[in-house]
Amino acid sequence: MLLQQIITGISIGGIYALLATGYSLIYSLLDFSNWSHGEFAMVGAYVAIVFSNILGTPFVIAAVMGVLGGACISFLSERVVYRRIRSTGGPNMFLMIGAMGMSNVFQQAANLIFTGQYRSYSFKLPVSTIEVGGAYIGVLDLISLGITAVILVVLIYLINKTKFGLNVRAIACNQKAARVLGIRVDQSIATVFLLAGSLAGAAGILYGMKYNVFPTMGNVGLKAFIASVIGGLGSVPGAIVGAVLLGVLETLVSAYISSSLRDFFSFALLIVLLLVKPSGLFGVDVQEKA
Amino acid sequence: MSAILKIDNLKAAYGGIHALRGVSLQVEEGEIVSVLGANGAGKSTLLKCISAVMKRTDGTIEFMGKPIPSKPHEIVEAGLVQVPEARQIFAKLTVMENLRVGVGNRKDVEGIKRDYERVFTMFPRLKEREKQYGGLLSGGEQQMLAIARGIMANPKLMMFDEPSLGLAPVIVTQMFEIIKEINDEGCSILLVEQNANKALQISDHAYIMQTGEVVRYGTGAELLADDTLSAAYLGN
Repeated sequence: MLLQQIITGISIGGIYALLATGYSLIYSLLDFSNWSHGEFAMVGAYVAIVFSNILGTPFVIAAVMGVLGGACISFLSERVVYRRIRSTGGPNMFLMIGAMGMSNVFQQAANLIFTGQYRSYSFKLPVSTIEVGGAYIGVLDLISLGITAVILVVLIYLINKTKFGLNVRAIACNQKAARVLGIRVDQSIATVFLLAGSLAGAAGILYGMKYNVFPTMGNVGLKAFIASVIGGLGSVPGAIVGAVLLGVLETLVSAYISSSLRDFFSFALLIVLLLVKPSGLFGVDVQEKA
Repeated sequence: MSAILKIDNLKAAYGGIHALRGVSLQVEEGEIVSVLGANGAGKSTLLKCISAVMKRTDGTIEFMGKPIPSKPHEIVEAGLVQVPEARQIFAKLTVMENLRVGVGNRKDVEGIKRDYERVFTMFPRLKEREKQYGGLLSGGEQQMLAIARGIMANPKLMMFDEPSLGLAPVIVTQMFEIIKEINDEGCSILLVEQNANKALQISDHAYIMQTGEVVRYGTGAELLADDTLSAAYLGN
């Protein structure tokens, strides 16, 4: 029973992680929390609905289109909204307000186009379970977990082992210096939005498979945001650990205490952590010596 | 000799405030040229305009006989690198990663390898600390890293913005020796400094700026011999 809950928790945590890493990446580059990030997941989920339920394409194509949908909407937000706000040199608060506005626009648009109806993918989802040492583990959870793990490993590789990742980390440290030294700052930021958006798209589809697809499903972004704060805002490994912790905590609370107290515990964990270790689990700050 | 950098009537402003009011200067190939002046004279603005991280409102800049590219990364790739004020190293990247950022988009594998050897010979301290975070280095070591990072871009012209700022006197002397050494190896230098004495000692030519304009020009030796200089323009 416990093993079963923990695996389910890790699987949900994986979905949070796909979103939380996006919050962290964008926060590390631009110092603001992208409140419309959850809506990128919603857009991805709906694009996949359109392809699978309306156009009747096979699942793989619908999923790929959903991921691309998330990437596109994220990239467009950066080009059309965030870059413009940045170029005015205003405070970062403007970016956050812009993000909140967009979040609302996307939700309303989804409501208009698709109505508030809860939808599920028309392809057959694996509902079976496999037995491991007396525990029954959902095949869907395992698939979700596998996909998430692969995506996150690729992401960590990109950030830590490639020239692109090095440039992103340099921009996160010191954007002005990065520009003077010849890093294509705007191009790198746009690429990060593409990357974060495609992860969000994947998260949206996995979330939609596990639960449903609906206009306000992007609110799951709030959980991912909590996860990235727990891990230490701006840290990608922190976001992953925070997300898994949160997913497991929520599942255990739902199973052993009460599912109506799930969110209470999530926020309580956030508040306790902010009081005890405000920089988050992985928020080790290496300060520049003046 | 031909001019590697030629600036004509450069103007720039912050909002409505004119920071540069028509600056003209040039750096001949192989020279060390200093730009001196008190705080607020427009020296850093000048370098920002050359690196294209700030837009000029008027004037022309030519680099190696051609109009300078308009984007910062194109300028670096053309061979003009700035070592920015207050070092600006990447605190959360290791020494080695800082250097790799400096390499940028270079493709000449052999040349890159040679330049790593060159900076580690020049700064053995950096070799010892190559796996450490940049933010944990001392001020002098950070300045070394900032210079080494610039060298990794294989520049034809290096611009230094106040390299002596905030460093202990003995390290300052060492910094100027290093700048001379880089110049001796064939790289032209444009040096912005408040430490006029030290800068003039190694300069072929120097310009003195005051409130956005060039007010004096001469060889390093001429200006060094001029006692009226520091009182009149340098604010000390």
